[in-house]
Amino acid sequence: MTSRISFESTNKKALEKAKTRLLFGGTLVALAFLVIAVRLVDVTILNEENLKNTIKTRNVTAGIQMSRADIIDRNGILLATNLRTPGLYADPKEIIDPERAARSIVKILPGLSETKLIKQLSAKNKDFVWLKREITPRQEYEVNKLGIMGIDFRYEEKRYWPMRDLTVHAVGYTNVDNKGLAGIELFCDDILKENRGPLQLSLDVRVQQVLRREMKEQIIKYNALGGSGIVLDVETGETISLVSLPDFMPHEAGTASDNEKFNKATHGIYELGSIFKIFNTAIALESGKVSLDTSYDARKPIYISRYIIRDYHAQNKILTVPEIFVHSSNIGSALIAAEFDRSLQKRFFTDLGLLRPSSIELAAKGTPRPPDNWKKIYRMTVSYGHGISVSPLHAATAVAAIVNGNHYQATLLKKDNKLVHGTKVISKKTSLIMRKLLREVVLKTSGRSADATDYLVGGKTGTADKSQGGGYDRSKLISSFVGVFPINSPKYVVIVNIDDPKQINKLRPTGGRVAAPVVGRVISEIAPLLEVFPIKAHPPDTEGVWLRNQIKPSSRKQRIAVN
Amino acid sequence: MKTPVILILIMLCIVAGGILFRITFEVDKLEKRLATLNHDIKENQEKVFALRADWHESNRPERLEILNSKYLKLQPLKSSQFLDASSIPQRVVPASMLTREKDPILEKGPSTNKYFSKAPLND
Repeated sequence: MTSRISFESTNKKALEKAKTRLLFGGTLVALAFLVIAVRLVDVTILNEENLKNTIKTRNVTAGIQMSRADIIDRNGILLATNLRTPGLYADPKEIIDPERAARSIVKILPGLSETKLIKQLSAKNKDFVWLKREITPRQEYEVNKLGIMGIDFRYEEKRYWPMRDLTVHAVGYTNVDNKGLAGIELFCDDILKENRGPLQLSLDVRVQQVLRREMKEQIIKYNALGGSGIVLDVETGETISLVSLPDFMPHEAGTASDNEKFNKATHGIYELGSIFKIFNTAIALESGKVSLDTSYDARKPIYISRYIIRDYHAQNKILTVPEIFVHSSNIGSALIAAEFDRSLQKRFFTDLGLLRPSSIELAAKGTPRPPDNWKKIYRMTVSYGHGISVSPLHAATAVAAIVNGNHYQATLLKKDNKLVHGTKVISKKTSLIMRKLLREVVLKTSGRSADATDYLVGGKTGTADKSQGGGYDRSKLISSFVGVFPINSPKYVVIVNIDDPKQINKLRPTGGRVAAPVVGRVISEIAPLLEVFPIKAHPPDTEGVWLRNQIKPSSRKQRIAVN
Repeated sequence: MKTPVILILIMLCIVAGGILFRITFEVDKLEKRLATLNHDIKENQEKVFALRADWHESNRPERLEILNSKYLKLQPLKSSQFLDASSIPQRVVPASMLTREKDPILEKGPSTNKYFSKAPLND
C-alpha cells in the first residue's frame, strides 16, 4: 500500500512537471501562431503600400496626360499635338571605351560629329550628357542593339504640327522645352499647359489650303515679295483662314528668315489705298453729310499744301457719290471728306476698331498708324487710304462691320455656343446701300475678276503706292481686294493683299488685276465648303433697285471743288 | 463535447487562413497582370497618338491635292452643279394610286374630339 502511495506521489510529480512543460511549450507555439495570424491580417488586409500601388496602376487606364493640350481646327483636324520621342543621352562615368562607342553611334546617327562625341563621352566629371534629342524609333532600336554601357534613352514630349507650314502663322511654334514662342502657342501658353482638353480654333484647314494655294500661285506669277489673306466670319468675327506668305515649317522655325516669320496679316501695317473708300462713303452716308445724288467735280486734280490728289481711273466728269465709289475716284473721295467735321472720321474709325491693335489672340499684332492729326489735308488723304496704316485684319474686320452693321471683335478661337456681342456701327439702311455699292464694283468696274459665278460677290479694290522713307515709290505697290459674299446676306469677308507685284505685259499690277482674281477663285471654291449655296437669280432685296434707278439725273446737286 | 468544438474551430481557422493566403497570392498575381496590361495600354495609347498625328499629316489638304491631281483628277464643286430642290421634277403618281382607302381611325367609333380641351395648345 505504501509503495503504491509512493508510486502515486512520484507519478503525480512527474505528471505535474510534464503538464507545466506542456503548458509552456503550448504557450510558445500559440504565441508563434498569434504572430503569424497578426502578420497575416496585416499583409492581406491592412497593407497600405500595396493599396497605393493598386490605385496608381489602375489610374493609368484613364489615359495618358500629355503636358500640353492639342490644338484642333473648327472641324477637329489636328493642328498641334504632343508625341513622346526618345532622346539619346550618355553617362560618361560608365563609358568604358569612348572612341569605339562614338564610332558606332555616328554610324547610326550620321548628323553627329565623331570628335565632338568623343569629347562628350570622355567628360568623366559629368554623369549626364545629351547626345541627340528627338531620334526616330528606328535609330532607337539600332542604338539599343549596340548594347553600349552608359548609353541610354530618355523620353521627352515633343510638339508636333501635322499641318506643317499650312497654319504656322496662326498656330505658331514652341521651343524644344515646349514653351510657346509664337502664334496661339504663345498667346494661349498657360491654357495649353493646363491641358483641359484640346483647344479649338476657328480656322478651317480646307479654306486655309485654298486661300494659301491661290495666293502662292499669284505671288509666283507676279514675282511679288509676299502677301497676306484672311477669311473672316461676318457674323461672329471668327477667323476662318489666316495666311501670310512666305511662311515656314514650324519644326524649323530657328532657320526661318525674318520675312518668313513676319505675320503680314496681323502684324504688318500698310496703307491699303482705295479699300478705305468703303469707310469714307459709309461715314458720308451715315452722317448725312451727303446723299446718293450729291455730285462732285472730279475733273481736275486737287492741289493742297504739298500734295496733289489725282485719279488713277480718271473719269473727267462730275461724279455722284456712288460713281465716285465704283470708279474709285480719289478726287471725289477727298472732296467728300473735306466736308467732314474734324472729329467725325476719328470717331467712326474708333468704332470700326481701326485705331487700336486688333483683339485677335496673337502676340504679333500691329498697332495702326493714323495721321498725326486730323487736319483737313489728312482727312482728305485718309479718305482714299493714304496717310493711315492698318493691318489687313483691321481692314477685314472693319469691312465686316460695314456690311453687317455691327462690329465684331476678330478672334481665332471658336465661339460655339458663346454669345458674341457686336457693337452697332452703322444703320441697316447705310449697310444695305454699301452692300449694293460693293456689288456694283464687282459687276461693273475694277472688281470684275472677283465675281465668282452665282455667289453674289461684292468688293472693293485697293492699289496703294508703297511708302518709302517719308515718300511714295510709285513703282512698288500693295495690291489688295476685299470681297464679301453673298452680298444679299453677308456671311464671309475675304481680303487678299499682294506685296510688290511686278508688271506683266506693261500693265500696272493693280488690286483689280492681281488680288481680285484670287478672291474670285477662292470664293467659288470655299463657298460650298462653308455651306454658302449658289443663288441663281438676283435675290429680291437687290433686284430692281440698282443704284442707277435711285438717282434721277435731274435731281443731281452739284458741288464744285473749291480747293 | 468541448474538445470536438475546439478542434472544429481550429480546423476552420486553418482552412480560413489557407484560403486567405491563396486569395492574397491570386490578387498579387492579378495585380501584376494589371500592371502589365496597364503598361501595354499606355504603350498602345502612345502609338495611337503617334498614328493619329501621322494620319492627320497624311491627310493634310496639300498632300490630298497632290494625290488627287495624280490619281483621281477630281475638280472643285462648281456652282452649276447645285440644283434648287424645287427644280427637281416630282414623281408622277398614277391616278389609280390616288384613290386612297378610307382611314380607319377617322371612320370607326365615336369621335374623340370631345376629350380635348378647347383652349389653344401652347407648345
